[in-house]
Amino acid sequence: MKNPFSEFKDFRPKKREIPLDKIIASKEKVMQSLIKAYDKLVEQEAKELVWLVSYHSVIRAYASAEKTIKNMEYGVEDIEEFLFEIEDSSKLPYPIMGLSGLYVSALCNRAKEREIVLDLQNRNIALHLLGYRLPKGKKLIVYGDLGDFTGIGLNGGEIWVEGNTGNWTGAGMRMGKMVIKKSVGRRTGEDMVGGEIHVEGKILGVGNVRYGRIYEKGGIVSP
Amino acid sequence: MVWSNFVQLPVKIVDEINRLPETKQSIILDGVDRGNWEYLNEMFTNYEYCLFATANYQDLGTFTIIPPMLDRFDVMVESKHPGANISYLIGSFYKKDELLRHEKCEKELNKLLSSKLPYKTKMERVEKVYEKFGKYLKKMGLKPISKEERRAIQRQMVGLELDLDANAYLRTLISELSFCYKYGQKRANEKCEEGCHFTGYLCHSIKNCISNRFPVSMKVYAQALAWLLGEKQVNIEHIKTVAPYALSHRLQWKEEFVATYEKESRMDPLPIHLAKVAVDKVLERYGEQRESIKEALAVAYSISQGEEIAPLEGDHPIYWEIKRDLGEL
Repeated sequence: MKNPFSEFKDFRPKKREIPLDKIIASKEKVMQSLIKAYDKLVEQEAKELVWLVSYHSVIRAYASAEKTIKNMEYGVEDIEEFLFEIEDSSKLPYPIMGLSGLYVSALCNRAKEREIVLDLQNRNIALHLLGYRLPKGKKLIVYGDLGDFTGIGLNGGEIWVEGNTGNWTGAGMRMGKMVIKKSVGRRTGEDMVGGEIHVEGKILGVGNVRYGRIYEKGGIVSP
Repeated sequence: MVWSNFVQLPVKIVDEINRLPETKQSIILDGVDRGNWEYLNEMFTNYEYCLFATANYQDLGTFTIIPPMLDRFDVMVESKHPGANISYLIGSFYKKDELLRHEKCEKELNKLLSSKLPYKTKMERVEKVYEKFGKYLKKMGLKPISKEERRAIQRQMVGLELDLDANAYLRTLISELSFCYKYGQKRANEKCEEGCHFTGYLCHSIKNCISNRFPVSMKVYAQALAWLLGEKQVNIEHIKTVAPYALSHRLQWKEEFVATYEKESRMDPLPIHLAKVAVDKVLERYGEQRESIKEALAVAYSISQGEEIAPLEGDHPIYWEIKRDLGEL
């Protein structure tokens, strides 16, 4: 007997594309390029085997990060999405938090938006070095806790952290303002040469501050 | 004698068929269906034949046309009133009923049909008379089709395949007109179960099951339309256009369905209007899941060929029909 479905032997279904699919596809494309650029950065820096935060390694890694994202088009929501990818380490083979923080800082500094809001609450990541060299005119608002070296080398921008930050917060900052709603770690403001750090919680220790001001619960603690 | 001529001629016209009592209608069933006619102990087989019938709207002198008789007609159309102006124009022709008459041909034809010649020889000679009459029509500015041309058209028509959408849509339509989840198929004597899941489909709005003659009519007439339009394949538009005319006389609608649409503004008689509504509804449903239905049919092909995959699931009766054909139900 003839197969009653034989006319459909060679039929291959067309994938129905709805507008949402297009948006998702373009988002996927952006995310893939963000991940690819991050992989490249990690590959370059992994030569050091164990990546340690040092003056030279931070400058070098940031310069590499800037170079890898030079021609990329993305938005704030893509940065936030990238942070989800960091959390899912199966997609990112080397979630080195220091490098991730520098990479995200480079993304924030180059983003078109003046105000960047990142929600890190209830997330299994501790980003270090976030806010590195945030330029004047930009405001970074973070919900959740951040790791060490938050806002280092701050370059005139504003960082608001609705949570705690680690050691060396605001280290080497040149100008700008940091507001930490909870507590910060040791050596806060180490080598800072300008700007203000406002801590609404407790400061575990103040570093060697050259210039600039540090406040704790509204009261000045440095100079 | 009239009956003798009627059974012999390949083209038959039954005028006002619904003035024929139901008991008499069955006499012509076999002839209409297979082209076999019996007259004075002689069997005539019309190898090429066509039956036209006219029926008036119901009045005191009309009978119901029995469903088996209706089913044997491929299509039903309304010979509409031409409108005031054209009607006036027709009425103004002097002796309009005699315009196409050709007495010599008529006499020749009658003489031939009454002769004792073998039927085959008789028909060959009848064809010659047709040709003569055809030449007369040409002189009048008409362009009749010759037997050879007719054969060529039929060959070309048969060669026009249904494209995949036309094919899948027709299957979808048939499934809605024959499916019953509860009783395996629609049957005129069985009623839909209260609260049936498939109330949104046509199976819930009709009383009877569509016959197997319906897809045959559909294919022939959709092919004819596609040929007329010079298309290389039969597409879904051809199916959609032809379907109401192949369905309207074959479906027995439930009262609720009729009541919903009978008062709607329309240009067609109610049976054709209802069939158009139904065809559009199925087309809408097909449009929403055309890729999925075609994929289900493609998957069914693979399963039939022995591939061990699951048939595609779906809510529409077509998915259930596919599963049943695959022995999954």
